[in-house]
Amino acid sequence: MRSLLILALTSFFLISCGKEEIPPEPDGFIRVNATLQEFSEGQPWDRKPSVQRRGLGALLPNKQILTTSEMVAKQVYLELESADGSETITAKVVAIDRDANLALLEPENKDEESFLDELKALELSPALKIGDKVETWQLENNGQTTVTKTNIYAVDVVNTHSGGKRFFSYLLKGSLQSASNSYTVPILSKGTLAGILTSYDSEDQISEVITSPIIEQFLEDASDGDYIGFPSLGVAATKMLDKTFRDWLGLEPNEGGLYLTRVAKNSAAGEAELQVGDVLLSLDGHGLDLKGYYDDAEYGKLSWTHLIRGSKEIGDSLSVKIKRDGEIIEKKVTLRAPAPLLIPNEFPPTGPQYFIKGGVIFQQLTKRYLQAYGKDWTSRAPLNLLDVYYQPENYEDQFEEAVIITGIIPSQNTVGYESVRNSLIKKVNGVDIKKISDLETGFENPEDDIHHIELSEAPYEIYLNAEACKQVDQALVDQGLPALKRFTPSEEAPVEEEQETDQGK
Amino acid sequence: MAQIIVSTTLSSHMIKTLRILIFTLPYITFGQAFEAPLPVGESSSTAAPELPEVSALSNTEIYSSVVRIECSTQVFDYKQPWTAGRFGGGIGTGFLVGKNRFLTNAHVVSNARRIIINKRGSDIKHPARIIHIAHDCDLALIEVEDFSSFVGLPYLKIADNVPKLESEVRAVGYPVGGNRLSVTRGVVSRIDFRPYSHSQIDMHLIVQVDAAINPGNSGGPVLQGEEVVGVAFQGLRGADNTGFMIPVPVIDRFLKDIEDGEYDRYVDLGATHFPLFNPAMKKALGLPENSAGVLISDIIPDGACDGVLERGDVLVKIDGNLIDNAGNIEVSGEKVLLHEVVERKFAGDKVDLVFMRDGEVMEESITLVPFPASRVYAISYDTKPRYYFKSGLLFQPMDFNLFSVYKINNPSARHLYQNYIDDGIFKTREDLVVLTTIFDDKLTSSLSNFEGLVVKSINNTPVKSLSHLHKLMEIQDLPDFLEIRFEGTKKPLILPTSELEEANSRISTNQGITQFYNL
Repeated sequence: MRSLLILALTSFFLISCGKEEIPPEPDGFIRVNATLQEFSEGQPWDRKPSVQRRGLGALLPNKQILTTSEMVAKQVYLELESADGSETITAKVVAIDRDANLALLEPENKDEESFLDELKALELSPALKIGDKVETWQLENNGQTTVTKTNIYAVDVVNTHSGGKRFFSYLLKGSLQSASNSYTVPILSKGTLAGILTSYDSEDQISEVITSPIIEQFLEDASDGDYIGFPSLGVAATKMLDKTFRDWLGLEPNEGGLYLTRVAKNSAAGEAELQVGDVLLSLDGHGLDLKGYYDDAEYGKLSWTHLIRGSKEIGDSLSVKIKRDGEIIEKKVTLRAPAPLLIPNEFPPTGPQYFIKGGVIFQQLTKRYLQAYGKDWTSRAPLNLLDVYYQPENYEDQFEEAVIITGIIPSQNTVGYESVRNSLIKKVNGVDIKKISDLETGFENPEDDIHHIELSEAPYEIYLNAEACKQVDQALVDQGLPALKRFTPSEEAPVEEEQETDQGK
Repeated sequence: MAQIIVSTTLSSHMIKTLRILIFTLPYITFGQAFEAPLPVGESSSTAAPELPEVSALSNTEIYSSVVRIECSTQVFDYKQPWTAGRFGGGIGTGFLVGKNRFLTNAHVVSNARRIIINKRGSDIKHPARIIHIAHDCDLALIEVEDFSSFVGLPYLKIADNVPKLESEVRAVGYPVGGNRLSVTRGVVSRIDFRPYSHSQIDMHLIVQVDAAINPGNSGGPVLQGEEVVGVAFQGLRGADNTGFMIPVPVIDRFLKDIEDGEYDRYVDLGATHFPLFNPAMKKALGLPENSAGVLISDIIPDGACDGVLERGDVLVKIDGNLIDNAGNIEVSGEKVLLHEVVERKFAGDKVDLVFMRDGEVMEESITLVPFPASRVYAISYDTKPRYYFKSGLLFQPMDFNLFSVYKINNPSARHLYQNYIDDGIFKTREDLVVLTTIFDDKLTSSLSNFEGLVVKSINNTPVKSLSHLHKLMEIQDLPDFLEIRFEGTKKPLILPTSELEEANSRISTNQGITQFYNL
């Protein structure tokens, strides 16, 4: 399903729906062109070669533009282009949610007159039902609008192809053409914005659409200029299809519920003292079945996560019914913003956090870094780092950010240390390293002109000559290294996953 | 040293990365040669080239003591440990070193069901058996049931030393390409300390020669004059003219080790070191810039150095040999790893260490000890796999064979295995027991997520070994539920005690399992 509208179709078929050309009445679509550049995992001060991504955005009444986060995350330059390509203006990101795969843009200079003023903005549509008709809007190279009519054949709570979390989505059935702006396709219902299409599977001809209720919550949150995010309970849960397991927990044969396998520290669930091993029976009175679905009045069976991410805001309370040791316990939980992950999925938007001292490269450990070990990174990445990634609960008392040595720039200063890498940093000159910015404090006070670095792996300690470090670092700057460090405030770290987990493997 | 490499190099890719292949020839490639018409009457004399050295023995005499070894094998199936396994076989070479004592490679006669020795130029198959086999240095001593046909053949003498670089050698054996004895010549190209691929984990002195050494040469002598300077044993895939032989010190040690009637294996220093090149590191350790020695980075718990050396010590001398900053010592003009000192010693022998701690010179003598636990990282041979089968669950102890057969991916399981020795886990857990397979049945159909995990506890009792697990699961008055917990996951596996026996007989009948355990 991840084939994001990269269609192999050269000719254009329609199977279950009609296509018609309609006159280019003024409407709220514009082209969004993004130049994206990822950061290098090994040389965190560098960016990889840039790629261009072209998509669409929907113009909202307040002159902001809605698009997918996938379009603009990692962007270094963003521009809005009129449908016919005659005008462009520079844009910036106002709010972004990687989990919901949504982003809000506005012109760099909002008061300036532009082609946007001539377009008719789109209002949000109310939530739709299964069977409702919708239109998929795409732009041809010549600026013509192509409209494909289709209908919602199902709703589900699915992964948005961006953050790993699942959101309420419409599923559409019908073939789509490959148009020039394939990332982000607006979906309309009766002239209002019903959602944004994020993925299209050309084999099954099924599209997934982020829905207007989710968009509405996103926009409401962003309206004060300070986007916080969707609420989180802070648990990971797994299904219990095995009858014996349910008997062991003292569950009735037809009683549903999910087994909690993780309760995040500093989360709503943690605050309410939910525990690993609790059985999550119901949320706000909605009972969960064996697979974690509840009966939604409107849509039928929906995943439990929708009761949190699709129906609540941060600060809302949620009543949670659990079973623990055969006893039913009810708790009121106040939903929070997702707690930061000990090992974030992505580099911070401003780039990987790093610090260089005397040619030794320190970085914050992220999943993105581990993934640089290739497709089978889960078996190839260093085991000590995978252990932190998979068992964060064993480490979260020791540090807020995992700091590792990712490489050594060879110099006389680092001779003999060539093999030292992927070791967690415990202390520098006696200072505990709980987050990467602690390195700076640590390196301020060398003893006898020698820096002392304590590691979690052999050789456990390395030493650097403080004076030589200064010279090496200066030489690196002279040779064109843009900066010797990049720290990001921790609030920007990506967030806790909340989803069903596969056990073990 | 032998077993030290462990933690840093161990990975699921280890077999691939070593790229070393063993030169035994499987039957398959030899089948044709068996059928090819064998010229009769045209025997020995053609094979022997003239040798410049003056020797007491003629080449014909020397070659007559080089025999062809045919071995039928049975390789156990770790996925179905109750079965007989896979049958196969191979050809190798051996040579007479004493009365009814044939030296060959361990890998030539590993997993043997039947061993046959052929004398040169004779079709008579002499049944043979293993006297001693040393998997950690890939050597074995075998004997024929009836030695009478071999009486009078010369015993080949093992040389006193490692041959000099560039000196000429010849390899004698029965490699691919024909049925008769083959002799190839070359020079000694390199002397090094390298992994022995037979066990995957052991490293010893190794001599590289450019004489062709091919599949079937394994176990054959490499000669200088009439003396044996090595046993041909492995090659390097993807490289030309690189054959490897086991040199004299390793052979000597093996022969000495078995003098008491038993092979006790190599012993290990039980400490790892880190090179000491960095000037700032030297200064911080209170050493002058030109000082010798290496940093001790890890001490293996219960190993020879445990309680004597400490992490952060600088090891300067070993048995009087000065250690350089890379960890090398000089032995008869050649730089070798400091472990070479321990290589030639036996359990119970002493090693004198000089090391620096907090700026003070200290001298201690350590006693080398056997360390069987480290064999979890070596390929094992000749032993029937241990397992325990109960109600569709197959439990097996983690070792190299298991690790390579099952592709264990769970990070917690791999992490425990990797740190099993270094973190001293072996002290409390004799085995890491893995639930390797769950056989499908109505009782187990929704449990497959648990495959490949290491068992932590049974009904909250921590599991120490396979036999401990067996005991815990066979208790007469188990509670209503059997609760199995695993490392790295929070959800336990639950089985209803009352249904265990019925499921056990149902599944074992389906799978044809008659033997439920080998502990």
